[in-house]
Amino acid sequence: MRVTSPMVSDTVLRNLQNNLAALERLQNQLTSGKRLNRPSDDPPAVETALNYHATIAAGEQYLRNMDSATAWLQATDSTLGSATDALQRVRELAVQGGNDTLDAGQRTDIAAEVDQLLQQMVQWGNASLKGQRLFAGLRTDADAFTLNPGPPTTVTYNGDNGQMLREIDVGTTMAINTPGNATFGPAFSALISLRDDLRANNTAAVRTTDLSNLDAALDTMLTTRANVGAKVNRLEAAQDRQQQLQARITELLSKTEDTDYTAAISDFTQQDTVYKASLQAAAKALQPSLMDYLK
Amino acid sequence: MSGAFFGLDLALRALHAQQLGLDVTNHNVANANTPGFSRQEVALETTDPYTLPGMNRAQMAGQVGTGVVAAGIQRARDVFADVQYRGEVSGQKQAQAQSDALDEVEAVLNEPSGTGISDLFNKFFGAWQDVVNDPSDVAARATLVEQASALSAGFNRTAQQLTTIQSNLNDRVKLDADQINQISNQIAALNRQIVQVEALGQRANDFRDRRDQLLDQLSQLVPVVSTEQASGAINVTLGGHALITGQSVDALTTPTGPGGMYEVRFTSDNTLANITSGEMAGLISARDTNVPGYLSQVNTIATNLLNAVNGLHAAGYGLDGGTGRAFFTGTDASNMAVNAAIVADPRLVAAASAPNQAGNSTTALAIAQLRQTMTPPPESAYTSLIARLGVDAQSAKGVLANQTVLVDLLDRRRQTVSGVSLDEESVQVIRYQRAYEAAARLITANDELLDKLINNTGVVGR
Repeated sequence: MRVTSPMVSDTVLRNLQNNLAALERLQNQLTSGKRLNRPSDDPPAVETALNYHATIAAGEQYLRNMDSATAWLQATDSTLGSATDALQRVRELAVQGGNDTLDAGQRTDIAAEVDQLLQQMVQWGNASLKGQRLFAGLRTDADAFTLNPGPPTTVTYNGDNGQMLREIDVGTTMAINTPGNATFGPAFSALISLRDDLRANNTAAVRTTDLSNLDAALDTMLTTRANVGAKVNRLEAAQDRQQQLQARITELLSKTEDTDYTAAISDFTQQDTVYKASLQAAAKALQPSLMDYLK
Repeated sequence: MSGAFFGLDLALRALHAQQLGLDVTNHNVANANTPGFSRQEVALETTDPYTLPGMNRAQMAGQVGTGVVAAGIQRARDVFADVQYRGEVSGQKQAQAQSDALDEVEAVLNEPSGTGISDLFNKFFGAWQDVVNDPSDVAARATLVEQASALSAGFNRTAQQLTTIQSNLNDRVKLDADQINQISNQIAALNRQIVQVEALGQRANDFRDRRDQLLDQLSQLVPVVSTEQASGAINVTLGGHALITGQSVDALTTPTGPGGMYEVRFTSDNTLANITSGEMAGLISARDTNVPGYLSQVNTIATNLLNAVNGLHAAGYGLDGGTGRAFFTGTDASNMAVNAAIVADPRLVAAASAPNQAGNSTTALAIAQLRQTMTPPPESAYTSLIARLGVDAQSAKGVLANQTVLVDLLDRRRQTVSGVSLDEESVQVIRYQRAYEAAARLITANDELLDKLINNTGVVGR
């Protein structure tokens, strides 16, 4: 083959450019830390990486949803705890009030304490988190219960039975709220009738119906609280699992889109050597011509 | 007997021939780096030999050579390699134009960067979930409005930039057509010059080089076939239709076709030019197929999303108790925006499925769950679009790389024939120089012979 001067210089230039381009690509991978910089770098890997990114973002959102749900459920749980303690205290008072050794004045004193606890119970029923009533169903912006002194004393429920649903995983929702009517309603009526019976010195009613009403109200309260506790536990487990999943997907994402430094550095070193060698070869190939030897 | 001055004439012809050789070598060296230049060679021939007249012919040997003449100057060119080169360079430039356009689209979509539309989707759906978590929190609603506006702006920008890429491609189609006309006119002018020169029996080497270079340039833009005529002129066809016939050019026109894009037509009969490769084919397919394809997919994703969100949102209730409002205005990626009334007052976001329930976020939850419940889910539709773009760009790059290797190879093949080798030219210089020196010495020798004859003959005894 006849080799001409432009061919030599063109070839040298083209090879230098190719080597430098390869070097630049590796340099970009090393400095950006990313193996994928545009869709055409590796289309299936880019698609996978985008899916992982979306999964991680959704997972972080689920964790945030669960944090918020847990805060609500814990506020519910602690309020129900206080209400349960109060009901137990009322039960003690009922037992005490039903004792025939007490006189009417002492029963009136007990009735006053029951009345205090009733008002306290209404306040718990109106408990809120960040301004949202915990027990008002979906009508969270107004007090769940109103105490009408009467007589007769009544407690009105202003809320509804609406459920607050939160998404805690893909397509999985959990109702986090406790509409208060079913939980607090029996307690209110039990307290009101106990108080009134104590005032009326009706010990028989205190010992029988009031006490059994109180037990039933306590049962309802405890059952509700157990449900709330179970949800908190379920959320905890789901959070743990979600966090593990996040860690695993983050690792997979890193494998998909991050530079494999060991391989990249080794490739870079090799490519650097090739480039330097091609520069040296170019210096030797381009210089001499017959002119250097003709006298 | 040969004449007394026969040798002088012969040596003079030799001087001329060698000097011409030296001149051509000079020309080669001077143009060693000129693009499109073909090395030239002097075709030396012996002049017609001569039978010496004589009274008795048998006494003389014959025939006597009369020396050398430069019969012509030829350029070294492999015409077959030219044809192959031009075919492949059309393919290379087609892939180049397509690959460049896809490169731009990749830059516009900007994935996987963490700042593209896929990230905006994540933030948009996340913001809805935050409204679900606390439907009466105005800050969460304000954040949602902000993220939804960012997503709309992302779609607007993408649609607008894709449209800009398309219109830039369209402008370049017109520029290419203008350039084709300009090159065609130059070729037609060269046809005239070449016919004039070659009618006189000479070879229009440098004009031919220029014409070949113009044909190379033309082949980069469109696939052309050239046929040389006996006169030395070439006729060029584009997609089977005459473009250059001798000295006349059927120029391309670019009327605006349906869809507002330039069409490429021939002036004479207004037929559409059949452009199957070359830069122009790459531009046209990127303009009419690739970019509009991506744009329509982006529009479909945006339209589906805004319709689905609006459908749910209109049935929901804002904190003010109002219902029947659209969350997004607009119809596709180019014009979607968050309802201005909602931007002004985020309490109007219809998170609730019933009025006057501050804790109701059922509608917001349904909208947040569109991420899974839409078919296809907007994010996976978008991810498929990115993957398709990636595959398209990768395959265009692959074709470009292959064509580049092929074109380089064919260009080398042309260069082995046509390229100037400085080593070779150095040798030629020496060869012609030595021959010139020897011819000059022959003149001296002849001169001395004549001196002997004229000045020193017949002076015996003087």
